[in-house]
Amino acid sequence: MSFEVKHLQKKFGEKQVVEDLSFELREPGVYALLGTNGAGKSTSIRMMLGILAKDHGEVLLNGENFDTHKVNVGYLAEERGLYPKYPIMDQLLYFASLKGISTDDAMEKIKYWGDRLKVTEYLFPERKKGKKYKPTLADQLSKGNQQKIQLMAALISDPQFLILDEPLSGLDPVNTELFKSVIHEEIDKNKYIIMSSHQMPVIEEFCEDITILNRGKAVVQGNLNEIKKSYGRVNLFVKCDEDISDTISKLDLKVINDTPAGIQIKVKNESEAKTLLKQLSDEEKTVVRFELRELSLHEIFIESVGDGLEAGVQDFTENVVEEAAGE
Amino acid sequence: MNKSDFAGFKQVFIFEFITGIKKTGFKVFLAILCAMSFLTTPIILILGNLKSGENIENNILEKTVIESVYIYDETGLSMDYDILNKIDKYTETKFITDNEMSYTEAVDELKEKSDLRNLVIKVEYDSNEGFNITIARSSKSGIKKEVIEDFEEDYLDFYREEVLKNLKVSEEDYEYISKDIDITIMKANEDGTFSEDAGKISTNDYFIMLAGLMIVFIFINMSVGNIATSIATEKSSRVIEYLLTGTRPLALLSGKIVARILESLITIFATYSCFFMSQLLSVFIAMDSMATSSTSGNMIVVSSVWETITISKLIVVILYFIAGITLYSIIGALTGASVSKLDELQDAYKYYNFILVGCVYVDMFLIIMMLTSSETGAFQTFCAVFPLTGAFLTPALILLGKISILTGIIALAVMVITVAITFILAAAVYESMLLFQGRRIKVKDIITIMKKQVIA
Repeated sequence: MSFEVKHLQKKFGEKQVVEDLSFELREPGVYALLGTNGAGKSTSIRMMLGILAKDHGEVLLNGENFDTHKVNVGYLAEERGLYPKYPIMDQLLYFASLKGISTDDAMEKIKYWGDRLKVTEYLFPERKKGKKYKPTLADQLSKGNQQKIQLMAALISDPQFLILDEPLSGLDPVNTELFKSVIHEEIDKNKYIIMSSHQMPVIEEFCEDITILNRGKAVVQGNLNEIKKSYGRVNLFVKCDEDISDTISKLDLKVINDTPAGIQIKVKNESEAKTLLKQLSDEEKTVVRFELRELSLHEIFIESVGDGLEAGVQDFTENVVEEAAGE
Repeated sequence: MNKSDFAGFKQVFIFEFITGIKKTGFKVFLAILCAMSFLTTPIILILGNLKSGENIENNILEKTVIESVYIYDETGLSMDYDILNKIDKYTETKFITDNEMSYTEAVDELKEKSDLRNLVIKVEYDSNEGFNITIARSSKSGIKKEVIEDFEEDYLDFYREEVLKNLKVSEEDYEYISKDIDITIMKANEDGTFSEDAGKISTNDYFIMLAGLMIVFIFINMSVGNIATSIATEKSSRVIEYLLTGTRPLALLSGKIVARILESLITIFATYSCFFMSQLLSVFIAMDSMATSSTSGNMIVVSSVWETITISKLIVVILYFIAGITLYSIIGALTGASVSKLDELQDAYKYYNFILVGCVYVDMFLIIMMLTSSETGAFQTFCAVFPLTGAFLTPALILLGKISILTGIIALAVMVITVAITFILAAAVYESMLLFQGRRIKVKDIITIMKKQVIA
C-alpha cells in the first residue's frame, strides 16, 4: 500500500495556507507533520481527508484518489468534538454506524477500548436499584476523558489508516503514557499513521519520516535520522570545574545555553570541538563533561521555523466567500 | 449531485430521529398536543351540557321575577296574552293591556318607583319599517339582564305567532315557515369538481383556519429550530469534522430534514388519533343530552369540518405539509450553518424570523379579509400558491374547500419545484458553510457563494 500526497495547495482569500506539499508513505509507520500554530498542518490533514476542498494537488492511495468514504480511516481531530448533551454511548454507536460497523461489533469494540482507555465506568454506568438509569453525557466528562472517547471513535472501526492531529495535547502525564502505548500498539499492527504534534520528543519516539511546515511550505522533509545526520554532530555540551568563558571567547564559539549543568555550544564541525577540547587540556582545565551529539528534533524545528515563530498564529478564518470562489 | 453525495443518509436519519424523539421538549410538546386534542371537544360538550342543564333548570323551575307587564299595543292586532301566562315561568306575571295610565305616565312611574319589578311594552307598526317593540324597565328594579333577554326572546316568539294567527296562518303552517333557511353557493371548477364559492367565510371556518395556521406554524418552527440548533451544535462542538469523514454534507442535511418530517408526521398522527378517540368519547357524552341545543350544535360544528375532506384532498395536504416543512427546514439548515458558535444562532435567526413572521402575518391578514370581505380571490390564490405563505395556510384552505383541488395541486407543484431549487442551491453552499469557522456568514455571503458555485 502506498499513500501519496502530491503538490497540495490551499489559499484562504489571498493567504497561501498550504503551498505545494508533497510526501509519501510506502510502508506502515508514522509520518509526522510538524509546524508552528497556523503552519497549515490541520488544513493539510483536512484536505487529505476530503473534508476541505483542495485548490490544487492530489491525495492518492495505491495510485487512486483517496476517498475516506471508501477507505477505512480513523481520524482524531485537533479540535475535539462530541455532542455535549448526548450520551457518549449513543455517539460512539452513531460514529461506528457511519463507518459501516454493526451495533454488535461496535459494542464489542466499545467494551475493549473502554477497558483499555479506562472509561468503562462512563460508558456503562452502574444501574442503581430504584433509580432511573442515566447515561453519561459528553459534557459530564473531563477534557482528558472526552479525548479518550474521541480516540475510541477514531479506532472503533479498526482502521488501517489513522490520522491523529495533536493526539497528546492537553493530556496529563498518566494519560499521555496511556495514549502513547495505544499508538505503539497501532504501529505494531502495521498501520499507516499520519500524526501532527508540537511535542518533539513524542515525534522522535514514534516517527521515522517528517515534514516541517513553515507558513504552509515544507521547509524540512525526509527521514528523521538522515535529517539529523545532514545537520552533523554540532551540538556540544561542556562542563568544567573552572570558568571556561575566556577559552570559548578566544575560539569565537557560539554559546546556545549556559546553565549550572554545563554550557551548550553550537560548533561548525567536529574539528572545532576537538580544538576546544585540546585548548581546555592545554589550559589544564578539569573537564567533567564533554559531549558532542546530533541536533535534536526540537533544535532542528527551531532552526527551521525560527523566523516563522515571530509571525505568530496566522488567521485562517478568512473570508469563506473568497475560499469558495477559489474552488 | 449524485447518489454518493447521500452516503450515510440512513445512519444520520436514524440517529437524528432517535435523539429527536428522546428529547424532553418533543415528549412534552406531543403530550400537550395529544391532551388538547383529546380533551377539548369533551370539555366543550360537558360545559355545554352544564350550561344547558342550568338553562333548563332556570326555565323550568324558576319563576320569572317580572311582576307586571303593561302593554301598549298600537297595532290594533288581537293578542291572546293568556298564552304567555301558560308558560310556567310567567304564570304569576300579570300582562295588563287595559291601562288607565298613558304609555308616558307608565314610563314616568317606572322612573319614580325604581324598585318596581314591572315592564312597560309599546308595540308600533309602520308600513315601511315594520313592527317596533320597545321594552322599558327601571334601572334599579332588580330584574337581571339575562331575565330581560329571556323575556325578549319569549315575547318575540309569542308576538310573531300571534301576528300570524291574526293573518289566519295555521299552527302547522307556522312551524313550516319558521324553519331556518341556509344558502350555500357552489361554483363549478374547471376540473369538473364543485367547491364552495369564495364568499365570506363563517366564524367557524375563520377559527378553524386560524387554528390550522397556528398548528402548521408550530410544526414548522419546531422543525426549523431543531435543525438549526443541531447543525450549529455540530459546528460549534466541531463534531462536524469527524462526521464528514464518514458521511457527506448532503446526507447530513437530508437525514436531519427527513427525521424532522417523520417526527412531525408522528405528532400529527398521534394528535389525530387522540382527536378521533375524543370524538368517540364525545358521542357517549352527548348521548345523554343530545336533545339540548348547544350540545348538538357542538357536534355539528365538529363533524362539519370533516365533511369536506376527501382522500385526494388529504393526500395533497399531507404532501404540501411535508414540502412546506422541507422548504423552511432548508432555510433553517442554512441559518444553523451560518454560525460557528451556538450563541450566535439567535442573531442569525433574525432573517429567518423576518421571513416567518412576515409570511404568517400575510396569511392572517388573508383570513381576516376572508371573514370580512368576499373580494379576496387574487390575494387568496397568491397566498395559496406562493410557497413561503402557502406552507402555513394552503393545507387549511384545501381541507376547508376554500380553494379547488386543482389550485391545490398547482400550489403543490410550485412548492415542490421551489423545494428542489432551494435544495440544489443550498447544496452548493452547504459544505463550504459547514466547514467555515469564524465570523457569522451573512446572507450576501451565501448569495455570493451560490452564484460562484452555480455558475462554476
